[in-house]
Amino acid sequence: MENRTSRLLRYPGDMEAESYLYTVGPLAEQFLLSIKNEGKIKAAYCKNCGRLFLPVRSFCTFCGKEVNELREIDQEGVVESFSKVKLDSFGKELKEPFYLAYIKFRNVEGGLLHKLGEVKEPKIGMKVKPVFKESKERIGSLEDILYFRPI
Amino acid sequence: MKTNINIKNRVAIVGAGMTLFRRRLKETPQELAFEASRVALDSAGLDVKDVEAVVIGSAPDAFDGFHMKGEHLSDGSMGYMKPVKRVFVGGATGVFTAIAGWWHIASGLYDIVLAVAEEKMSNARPHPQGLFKYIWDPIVERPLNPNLIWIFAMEMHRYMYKYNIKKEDIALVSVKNKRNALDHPAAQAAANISVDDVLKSEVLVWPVQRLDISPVSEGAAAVVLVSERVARKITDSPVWIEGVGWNLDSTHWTSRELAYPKYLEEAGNMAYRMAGIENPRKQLDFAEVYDPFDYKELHHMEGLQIANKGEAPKLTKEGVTQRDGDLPICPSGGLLGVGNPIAAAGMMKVCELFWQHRYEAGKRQVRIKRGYGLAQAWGDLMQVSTVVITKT
Ligand SMILES: [Zn+2]
Repeated sequence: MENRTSRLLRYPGDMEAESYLYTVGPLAEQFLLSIKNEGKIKAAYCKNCGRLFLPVRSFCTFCGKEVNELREIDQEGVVESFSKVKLDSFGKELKEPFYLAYIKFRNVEGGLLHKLGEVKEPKIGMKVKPVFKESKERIGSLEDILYFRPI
Repeated sequence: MKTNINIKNRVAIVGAGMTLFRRRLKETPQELAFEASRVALDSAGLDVKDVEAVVIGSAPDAFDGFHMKGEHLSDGSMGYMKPVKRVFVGGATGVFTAIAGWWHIASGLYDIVLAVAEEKMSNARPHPQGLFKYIWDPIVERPLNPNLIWIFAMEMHRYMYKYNIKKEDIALVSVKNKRNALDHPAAQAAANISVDDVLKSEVLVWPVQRLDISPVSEGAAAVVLVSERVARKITDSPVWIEGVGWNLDSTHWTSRELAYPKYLEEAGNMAYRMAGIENPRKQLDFAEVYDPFDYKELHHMEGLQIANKGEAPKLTKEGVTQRDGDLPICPSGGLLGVGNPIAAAGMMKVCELFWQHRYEAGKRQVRIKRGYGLAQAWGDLMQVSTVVITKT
């Protein structure tokens, strides 16, 4: 009886769509394709104010003009900050804790969030470079980069 | 009589812009917001550095598939390092975004505000209609698994029953708006159709048929709002916002009057009092009333007191609401013709006010004789209406 009462006080439900297919955007598509095809991280270039920036989008946050060009950048990044992730989002201990980092690139506004690898004791300010998957395994995703490793 | 309300600044629209409305666009939500914002600023002759604050309007986060959608859109809406706020009242959001922009300036806080509305409807799978499932009360409604069209079908049926309105009279709205949209460069569902086409289209949920409904769309639209002080400096043809209004009916669908939107009458009266309009039928030059379904245009004309109860179909039949009629309704082509990217659709109507008042509407142009235009939207849990009145 008690069980039944408590069951009646609730109504089971769910929320949101079954799935999403997100629009990448024309310039971000080129960004992902250059990771896939060339193994290179490129940045958006605003020809109005001359800034390079990440993440890639087809407008300039700083001067409010349209952007339609990617440029090659120095692949050497610098660790702006990092953290060691020991628990997952549900509080469960990870079998393999990992380092998460915010990586910036020379002359580029903004940066990328990624993992660090092949490293014992990372440091803020450490120079790193991306390690890509084998080219035939790359699909055009941020996951085509396995991690960043110290130089 | 004009109500004496205490506002610091009279507010003008000085720029408007929008993207194409389509079922799927290749740009991201931020990029769509950017495109509309850029066009609006260019048309005002202003730049990002001039914008003091930004108001963003967008419908449920679930459509684009980003939580904190307003914040997500802020970079694309020229909001970087600025006071930015998102407003959200469901389908009525687009017009409400302009209202929120208005009070940013009317309050005396800012002189130049960008108001941007965006919707990305193609991300959610299998169909965005599924997301509306979650607007129902989880205890007393959701067990029946209703969708929006069911409810509109019952509202439409009640409206038809109460005033003895025929489907073929309602279909005239769809025919008119889709035809008007043939002259709108951003339109998604413009067409030359007949009443017969509407009546023969697929029955979805009787009495609602395929051609009674606006399409699923995505896109963005924006306006630039400024104080009178700035308006006098930068343009010879400001479009003044003379009145704003909004109002909500009961949360519960079953506690509302279906045949007549009383809450819209209240919202309209709020805006009419502010603008000093005593007889909307005689004083308005045109109105962009909210038309996600053909019967809603009629319903809303009555709530706005443009037509007597049950008589909007008569005005439509007599041609009063055609572009060359005495009171054109939805000269843009409306949601039925231009498309329905929720928040952006309402803002598209505010853009149309701007273009019509300034005689920039091209083939869509109506005659401005008396000086007043009106845009209206409707939404939330189908119980809110938002109204903006403009003047040349
Ligand atoms: Zn720039």
